[in-house]
Amino acid sequence: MRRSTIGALALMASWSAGCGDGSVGSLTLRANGIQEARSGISAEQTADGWAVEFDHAVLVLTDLRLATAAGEDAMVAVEPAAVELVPEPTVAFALEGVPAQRWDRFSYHVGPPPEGTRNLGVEASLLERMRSEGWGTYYEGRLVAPEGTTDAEGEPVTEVPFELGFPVEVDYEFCVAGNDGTNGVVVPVNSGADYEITWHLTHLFFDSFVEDASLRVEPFAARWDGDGALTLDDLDAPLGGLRGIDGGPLTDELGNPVVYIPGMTGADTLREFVLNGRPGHFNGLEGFCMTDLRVLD
Amino acid sequence: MNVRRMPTALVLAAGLTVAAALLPAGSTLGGCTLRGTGGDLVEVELAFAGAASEGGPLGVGETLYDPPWEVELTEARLVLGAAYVFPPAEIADRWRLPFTRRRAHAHAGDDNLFAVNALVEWREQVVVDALAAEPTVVGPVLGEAGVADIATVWIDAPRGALAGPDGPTRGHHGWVAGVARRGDEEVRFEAGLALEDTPLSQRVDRIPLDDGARIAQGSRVRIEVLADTWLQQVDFGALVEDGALEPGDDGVARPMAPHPFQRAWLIDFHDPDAFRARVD
Repeated sequence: MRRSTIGALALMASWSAGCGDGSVGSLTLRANGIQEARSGISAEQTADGWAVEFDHAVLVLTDLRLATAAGEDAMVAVEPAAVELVPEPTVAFALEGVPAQRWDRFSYHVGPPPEGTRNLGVEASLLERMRSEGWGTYYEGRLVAPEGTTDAEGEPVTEVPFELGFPVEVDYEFCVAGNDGTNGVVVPVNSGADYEITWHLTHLFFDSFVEDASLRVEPFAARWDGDGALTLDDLDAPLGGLRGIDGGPLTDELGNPVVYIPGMTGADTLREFVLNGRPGHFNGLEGFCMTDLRVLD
Repeated sequence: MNVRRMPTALVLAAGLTVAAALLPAGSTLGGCTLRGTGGDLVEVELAFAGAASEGGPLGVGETLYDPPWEVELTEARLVLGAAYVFPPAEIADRWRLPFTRRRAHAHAGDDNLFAVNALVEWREQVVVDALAAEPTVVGPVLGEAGVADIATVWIDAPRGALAGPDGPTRGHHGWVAGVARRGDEEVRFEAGLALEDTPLSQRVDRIPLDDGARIAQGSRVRIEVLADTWLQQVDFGALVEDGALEPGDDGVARPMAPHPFQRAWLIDFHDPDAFRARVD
């Protein structure tokens, strides 16, 4: 893949003045969909026994920033990258000549692919579709029903195809690395550091943005009209009135009503709820970032 | 995944204590001005009241379903246990202590205000009658002058005299009674709602204030509850069809959690859009 050489682009007045020795290193940033990108979401992971298989999970990284709380900025300039996460991780950015120090304010940004976006393993037609539709992320695959599932007419249901494009921009800022709990990244002198944007596909199926979320797939499947693939527009239904695949009340494994908790997102519909998900972590699932999300439609 | 939030009272108190300790005796700073630590200290009132989201009568709304049900509330109360007003993020960021760091979920549920100073903080219980436009006023409380951006409220479990079954919320975090109508159909109901005992379940964040809102000496922060939005997610038609809203002998249905009624109510009960805030 092309390497995003920042060399002359990596300017930092305070660094050159304050640190003075001109030491540099390299930084490699990988995008990783981890276990779920390789083998999907198993029925054991979900609360309702449905499973999910992914054919595509595409993430468009439009920018990243290395800075410090003291106001220094590495002035990194990168070319946006569209990354196919299925099935294996991909190096999205390889930066050379980065001033060697801790950059304790690391941020990355996700959004629709701008002109000049590098294609890292994405089907060309799919990337073009994302560009024309204004999607920052895209997921395609199948929702797999538990054995014996039937719909409202009593017809058997085995799987539901889905094609979910997300018209969102999300800033992931002030990232804390999941491996050691420290802020941002450390670029070593005359050496390289490897970091990872960990994209957690399970977030698509969370039922709460507050606490103790379960993964629920059935409410998605129940919105499928049987024609083509399930899309985000099919999910435009009030959260309080979601039904089960059989058309009856949506209940949990104990027979209680399923509760979706949108928290401060203010989501009213399942579509809005899903759009407000933030699957991005940093350097593992224990790595968190502050997020600022904008729905573009 | 849980997040923990440093109590802003602790942050505010600690910051002010440290700043006060550093002031030399006979300081010429005078008054309550603590330069370099934020704004002047000022006295502020808070006012809690009901309001209508679109200017109609209080407590009258409709559901999101097609065709919608009209919902008219005759009782709508909730218990608040705290309220905060915060500065814009960029200002808050400047104040951030160097040894603190923000931690947040990578998904929604961010604890965006971790370790941020509150301009105004009030931490006592009050029952808000969301059908009363006349406010319940508390204070004065000590705050910091400055530009205000967002408010947070904490929906609380009632304590003491408020907690009994005859209390204003019948021992719940929230209480509602009323009637839903669609054509010839009518459902009378009353119900309570309890929240999980966790900070993120009880806190409603990011209630916007008007642009340019400022906390100053004598300001009144008015926080309004828009109860007409509370039940817009309740699918009365489906609940009646499912036999889940059977009325009692007095003709009133009394759904008790866990129930789809509470499930749907919770969505907008715990929603920033169900609140409005301004600084008068």
